[in-house]
Amino acid sequence: MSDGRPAREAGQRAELATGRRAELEARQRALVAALVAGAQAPAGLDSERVQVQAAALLRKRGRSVAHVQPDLAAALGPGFGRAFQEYARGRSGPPPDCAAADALEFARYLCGARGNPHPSADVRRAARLVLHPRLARIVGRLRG
Amino acid sequence: MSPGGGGGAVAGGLGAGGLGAGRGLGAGRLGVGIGWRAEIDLTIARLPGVDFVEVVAENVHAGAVPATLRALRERGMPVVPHGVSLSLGGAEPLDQARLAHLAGLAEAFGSPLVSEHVAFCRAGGMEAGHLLPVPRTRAALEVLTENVAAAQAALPVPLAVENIAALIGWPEDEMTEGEFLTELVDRTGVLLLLDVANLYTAQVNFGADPVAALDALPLEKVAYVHVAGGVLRDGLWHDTHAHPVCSEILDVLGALADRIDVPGVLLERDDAYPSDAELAAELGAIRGVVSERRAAGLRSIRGGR
Repeated sequence: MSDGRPAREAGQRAELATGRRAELEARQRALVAALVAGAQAPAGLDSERVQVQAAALLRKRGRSVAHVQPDLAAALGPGFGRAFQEYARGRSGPPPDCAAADALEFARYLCGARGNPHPSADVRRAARLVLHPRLARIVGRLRG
Repeated sequence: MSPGGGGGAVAGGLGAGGLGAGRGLGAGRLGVGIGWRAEIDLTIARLPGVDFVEVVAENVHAGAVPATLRALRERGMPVVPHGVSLSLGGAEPLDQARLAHLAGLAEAFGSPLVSEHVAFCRAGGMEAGHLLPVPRTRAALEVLTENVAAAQAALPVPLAVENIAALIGWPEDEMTEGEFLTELVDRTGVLLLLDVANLYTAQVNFGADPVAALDALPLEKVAYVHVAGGVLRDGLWHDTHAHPVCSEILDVLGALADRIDVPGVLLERDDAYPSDAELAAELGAIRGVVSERRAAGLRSIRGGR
């Protein structure tokens, strides 16, 4: 006990554990960045599979947005998937951290936040109602 | 101690009501169940042959349980909280708030167990928005073991962990999924939520034999089983939970039922909900596969006497 060996060994174990987590973190971070933030696939991974997974994640994200804003999804109809993809691929950095925030940003995009408003007036109207929930409530009440 | 053959298939069986002989796993017998979703809450309330439900933990709050779910619980139906974002396989330490939420739901529902995934969902401050596979390396197993042990310590009931459906594999994988999960069970005593649709996914996407996986796993640690539909897209299986359950997946369930007396099977449906009749038929098919094998097992035991 007096030579401090147990303490040294415990220290080494902790260092090893920290090292393991750091190495794993780097790999996992690289994969998530490739999947949601447009980074290159991590070394050694099948880049085609990474693309397939990224597309699947994007579809799932789109379904969540459609779920929280069904009127917007209805206005876009079958064009929802393509519009959502264009919105998501055109932005930089990780996606918003919840479907509601994602829907707001998508609505801003449809209203022309990046310079190209959606060609359909119905879609733009639905998107404006997403951005102005109080207005949406009034419209809802008027419609009965 | 069960009389020879049949893999112990004589005790219990998939009875209604989730009652019957306990297995000492904390889960007992669950029977046939379905994933509770708000969109099909009334359907679930009137579907025949539902012995238990599972709720996605992230969608339910102990203080505001939907009335239809509360009614099921009041009828005595077991409710299993199923987490999808704890990131047990993540390099970052577990999020204590997510863990406390799972524990709180288990208390609120009086759940027999809680389930989560062998997966990670976030890294470097970014959310993937889905379950991603952990590299099957010794180093990742150490991290996963620490995380599972921490979760077990924080939960008031046993934890079961599920094999996920993956599209991506890591080049550094050192073990098969069966070996990896077996090591995890040996180290932590964690229960398994075995997803037979995900074993099938691994077969299509990575050529991993689902029956070999069953033979590698400690099946006595299976708390319950997931079954779900998916779709083949460009040669890859997507575990959508939005398509009917195909016969290949029921075959994996059958192979499992040949080996153990399956304590519980739950159908997951998350989208493109079919009619009540179709859901009832899927549940019936699942029950049929499990009880058919059980009956065959019993016959072979009786025949052997």
